[in-house]
Amino acid sequence: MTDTLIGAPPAPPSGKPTPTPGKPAPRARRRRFRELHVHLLLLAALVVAALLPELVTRHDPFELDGLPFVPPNGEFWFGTDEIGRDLYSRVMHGLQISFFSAALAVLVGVVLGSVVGVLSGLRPGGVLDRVLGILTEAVMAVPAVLLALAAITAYGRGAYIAAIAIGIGEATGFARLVRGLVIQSQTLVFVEAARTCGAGPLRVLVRHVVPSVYHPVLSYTAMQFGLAMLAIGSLSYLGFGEAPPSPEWGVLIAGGQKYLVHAWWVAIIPGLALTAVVVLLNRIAFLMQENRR
Amino acid sequence: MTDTATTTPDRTDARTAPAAADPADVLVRVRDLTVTYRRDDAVDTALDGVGFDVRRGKVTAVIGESGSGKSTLAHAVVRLLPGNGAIAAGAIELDDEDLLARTDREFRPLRGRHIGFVPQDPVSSLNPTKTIGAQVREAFSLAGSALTAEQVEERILGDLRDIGFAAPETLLARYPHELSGGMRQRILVAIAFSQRPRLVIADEPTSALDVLVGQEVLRSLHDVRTKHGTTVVLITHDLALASRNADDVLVLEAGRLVEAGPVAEVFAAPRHPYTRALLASSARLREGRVLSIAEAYERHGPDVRRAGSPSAEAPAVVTLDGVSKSFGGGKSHVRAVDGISLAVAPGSTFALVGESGSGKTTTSRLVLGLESADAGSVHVLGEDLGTLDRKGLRALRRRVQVVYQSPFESLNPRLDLRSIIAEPLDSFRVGSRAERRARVAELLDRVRLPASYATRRPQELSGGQRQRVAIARALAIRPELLVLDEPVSALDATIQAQVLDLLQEIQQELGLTYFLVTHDLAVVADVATQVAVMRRGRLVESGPTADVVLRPQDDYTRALLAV
Repeated sequence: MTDTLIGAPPAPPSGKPTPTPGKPAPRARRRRFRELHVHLLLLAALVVAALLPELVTRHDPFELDGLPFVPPNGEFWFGTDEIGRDLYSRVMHGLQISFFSAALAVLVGVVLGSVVGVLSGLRPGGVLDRVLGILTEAVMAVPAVLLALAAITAYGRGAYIAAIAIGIGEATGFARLVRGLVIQSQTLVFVEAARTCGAGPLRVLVRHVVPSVYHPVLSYTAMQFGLAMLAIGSLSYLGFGEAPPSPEWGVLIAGGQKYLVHAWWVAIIPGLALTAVVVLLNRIAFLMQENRR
Repeated sequence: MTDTATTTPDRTDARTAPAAADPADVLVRVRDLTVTYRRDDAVDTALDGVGFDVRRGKVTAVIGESGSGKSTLAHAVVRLLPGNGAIAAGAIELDDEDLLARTDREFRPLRGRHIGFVPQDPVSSLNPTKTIGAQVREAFSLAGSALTAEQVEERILGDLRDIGFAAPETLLARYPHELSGGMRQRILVAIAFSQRPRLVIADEPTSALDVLVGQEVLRSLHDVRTKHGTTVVLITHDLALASRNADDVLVLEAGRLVEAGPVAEVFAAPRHPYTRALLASSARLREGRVLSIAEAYERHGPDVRRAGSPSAEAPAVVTLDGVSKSFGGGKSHVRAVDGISLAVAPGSTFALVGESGSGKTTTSRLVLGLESADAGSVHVLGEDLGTLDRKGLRALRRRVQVVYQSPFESLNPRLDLRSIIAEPLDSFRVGSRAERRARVAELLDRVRLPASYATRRPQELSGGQRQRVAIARALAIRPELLVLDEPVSALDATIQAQVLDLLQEIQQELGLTYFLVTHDLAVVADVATQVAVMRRGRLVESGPTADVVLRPQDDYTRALLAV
């Protein structure tokens, strides 16, 4: 057998230039980051508008500034409603209620859910885990809307009361998510390494566990935020959350639907606003998940 | 931007120049093969103008370290590159047929029928929901075999017998989870050869298996190959394995073919500096020959024996007395550790050797106090772990530190190196902020990493560098005992030697005691003063390294040493 067996003849000159390896320019990734930033900016603008609706409106949401059923125009951007109130102004003021009641719901959900999740996840299968698990299941078995109805019956109408009830319902999902993440993180070698380095349980939790698991929680929060807005809107629509003349979006949609045929904007525009905000939040949730390595 | 056309001739060794090999003798001809991976919008070149011939009926080993493109090469030939991979240029010929001219659809019939593939991981490569028989028969139906059902059955039984299964009839009705890893891998070998392909590509066929089991698999692969005269391409990172099993070798470095030729020649007289470095890093290869572990030990041994001078009178650092530990109950009850007694002298390196499932890792976790013993006593640095409360255990953690197997998992990717190394200092509130910073700088220097690395994150480091960081962290609070859990098995061979040298240097300087857990007797021969061999939860043999390595008393030790 010949001693040289492997031969690579001089490569024919290839027309294609060889791509340089390892160049940065992960453009797709950067694009997603940029998209996320744009979405977060939009969200920030919404927060400002929700905090200070007077800044972005010229009319009072409760004053009869125009004729009834004026279609959208330069003066009344979203038109006027059945008694001549500026719909744009009402939508912006309604945003405040919808937005902050949903925020309250999510806050209750995140805080309660995280506490329950961490407590049960630290010792899976332990007594605490089992008790909290049963409680979570019990709450899960009750539809969140039913829970909200019960709360409203007991404590009176209002978006914020509904929100707390919805938040308690949402906490179950957060608890499950956080519990799973905490259990998963316990098997991470660097978490055990930190423990063998002498780090106490709190230090391990704050420094190693939370930073490695908060991402899915954040993304889930954005999604639940949108769902909470829908839930609160539905309750008001059904006549359980806010009551007229409140400009809460569910109330606006319910009030406008009678006139849908000859004044579509009164119901459709608040509906579109709600859809847009929920889509924005879901998109943020999606992008946050995508941007995770 | 590099142009392959102009650089190829410069970097290829004389041996890879146009072949004088008889063209009829060549089964696979690869020319100027360039494979790229798309990552987001960047493009990585995994293989860069690789060209070689594979001789018919021979075994060609492809060697190289991780990231050198070995597996990419195998996958490019069978066209199983991941979705983001593409053959950017070049030619692959099988029996003078241009494979790249075939569309994916036309290529499919080649797989199995003409090119067999043995994957790396036998566990994930068999369908857990189907019987072995169904999966072997599937190979025939997928290849469109013309054999009748009876002929297929007969062929399967014959093949399985050839591959070393005594009673293949009973095997066919079983499910993958009922078989050991080695048996599963042999099934995969049988499947790869079942259609009598011209070429079989084996991608690290033994690296997921224990040494002894891996040897068995290679032996059966060799038997079947000889029987059918199949050409085999063997991808491996193990030089000793390549040396013993292959006729020809291709050496890849960072996607480029740096050397190629008959194994005996290349290993005896490597021409490329990279091949030389690779060979030098393997303690087991000298002048193109594989040394036995005992021979390697005799060559290296003397300095080790001088290095560790444990004082026999001093009280032992670790004492295990009749320790047992079981997991699970009922049917899944496993005695991981079964009545083990051992003592580790201060300043020595105690190596606990065993294959997977031997209980060696459980033993190390018992020493670390991460598990508690069911029976017997564990004493570490004079403390009885059985009676220590949480506070006492934490106090002990100041004196016992650990280096984990995989530096890719043991370092928190979200922290910079300064925070990682300072973790024990922060946890025990040792010194002021400035003192901790100074200590981190000192430790980085100690493990020979630049001080500027303090602000980097683990992802920016190579495997070897990460393991150095893990060592620095373990040293931070000046422990007396270091538990090393397979400290080098996740690293490439050249890096292994460096990390082991560093560990020995540190031991001599600081007088540390090492409790080393490993499956690799070659590592042990290099560094250990005492060796204990563990099998199925029991110690089969223990003693000074020289005794165990040169005069093994137990058959199991002998088998491990013969690898």
